[in-house]
Amino acid sequence: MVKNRPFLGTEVFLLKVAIVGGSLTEIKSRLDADAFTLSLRVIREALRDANLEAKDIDGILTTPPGYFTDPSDMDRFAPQRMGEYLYTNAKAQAMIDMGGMTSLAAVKYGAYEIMQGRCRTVLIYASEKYVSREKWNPQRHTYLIHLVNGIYGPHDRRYGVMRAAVYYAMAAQRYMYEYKVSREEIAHVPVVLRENASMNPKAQYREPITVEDVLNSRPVCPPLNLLDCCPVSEGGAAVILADEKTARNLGKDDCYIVGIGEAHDPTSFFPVYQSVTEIPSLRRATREALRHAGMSLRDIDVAEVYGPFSGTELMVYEEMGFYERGEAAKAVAEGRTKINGDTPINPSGGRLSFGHPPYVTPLAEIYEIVAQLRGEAGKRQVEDAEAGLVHAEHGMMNGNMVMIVKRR
Amino acid sequence: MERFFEELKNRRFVVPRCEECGKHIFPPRVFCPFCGSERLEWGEVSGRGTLYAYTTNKGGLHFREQTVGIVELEEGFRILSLIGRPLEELRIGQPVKLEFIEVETLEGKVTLHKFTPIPSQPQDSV
Repeated sequence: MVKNRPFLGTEVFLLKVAIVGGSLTEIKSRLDADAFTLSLRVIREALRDANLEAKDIDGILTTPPGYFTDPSDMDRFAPQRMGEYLYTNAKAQAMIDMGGMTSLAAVKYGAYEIMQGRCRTVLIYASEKYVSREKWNPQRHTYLIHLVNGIYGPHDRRYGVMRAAVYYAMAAQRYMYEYKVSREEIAHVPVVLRENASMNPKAQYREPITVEDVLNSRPVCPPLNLLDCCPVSEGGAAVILADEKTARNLGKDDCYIVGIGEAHDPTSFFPVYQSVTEIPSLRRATREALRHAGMSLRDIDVAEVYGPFSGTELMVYEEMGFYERGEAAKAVAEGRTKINGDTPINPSGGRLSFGHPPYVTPLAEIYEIVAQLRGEAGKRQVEDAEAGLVHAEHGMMNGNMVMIVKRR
Repeated sequence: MERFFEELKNRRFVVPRCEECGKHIFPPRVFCPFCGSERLEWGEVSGRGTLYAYTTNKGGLHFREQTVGIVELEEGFRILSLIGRPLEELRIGQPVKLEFIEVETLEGKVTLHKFTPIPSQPQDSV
């Protein structure tokens, strides 16, 4: 039985938050539906999963419509439009933006609405669509160049950086240098994630790969090769939260959010003053979420973490406390993070093989953890999974959010 | 940031330094993030540093393929820059020195900073 605990050190009694429904499209490099259609599809499926109707929804929270979507699809009124389309009388509507952790931040907002008793049910949805090749004309091209390039800040944008891999590669290089980790050892990460993805029918890449495949794949930014990097992905996902009483009435009171942690470092991309191989905010966020849940890392049966590149994935495992610094590569190579290992991480296939539509990713992670806790994960089911962890970050691990979900 | 790039045109690498706590501040700000002081003085830095990390930036805006790296300056901050040597000739911790380069960009011609490894001194026999 999930027990209520004083929240964030206060003695205020708050309502418990259940995850009563979820849905996820398949993840692909291209999906043949626009962002709004994808969103509608996942919303309807999530409502069905939760035994709810649209009119029962008290809160509608979403992300901006895709990171690099066509400017004409950039609807700044997305939640309003959805409220009108679903014909709800909501008590909370918002579009939230905080880089890669956006949809998890939206879930946190929704969870607070439920905890306070303002909303009984909150819908969080996201879809990710990229600008189509046909529409990629020079005028829009310039707009998108500025959008992509601008992510890296007023100084670095002058240097013409167009991909995050440049920075993540240098972080991986430092990690290898500081902890004497070899290129071959890191190559086990994509291999294990692909093995997990091969059991996930919704994953973008499912063909098994070997360490040699990773080492021989096209160099992107040394030391990172193509198979060390997350792909460009499209997809959609939705999650519905409810208070305990509503969840019970729906017959959907099996999974509860029991811990939330969030922390940010004073950095926005590559750190100017701090070490790039340490992520203090991830450690803080993990500790806060565990403290809130009254649990320790050993109580976590399965985790979905946000590692967009192989080297960073290892740093995430270590910073969260699963392994000592410099030890994660060895653990992965030994199979400890596999589904039947002692610390199963990213059974979905992770960002590298499941796919990575940034605004959707945190909701897809929740979807996977709920499937694991409900015992509905099929071939990739982690045995007796009772507690799961979800992680998201923004920038280059500059800020982190951790959520713990527990089976009743 | 505007002033930083303006000064680069004159081949001067300047950043603000806090007159209270002495730290060099990058990216430039109007107050010191470490002690909060507004008493900042812009000044030239040594241009000496070491290579913290490096990689290749393929498909970047101004170059098809260009070595980039993070330089750790003697003044205690890190900065992304162009690196004037191919990857094979570089190593972490290598001393580097400042140069300038004019580049054609979407925003017209700009001067950027660039760092090049200082050739190591021939080892004297003891």
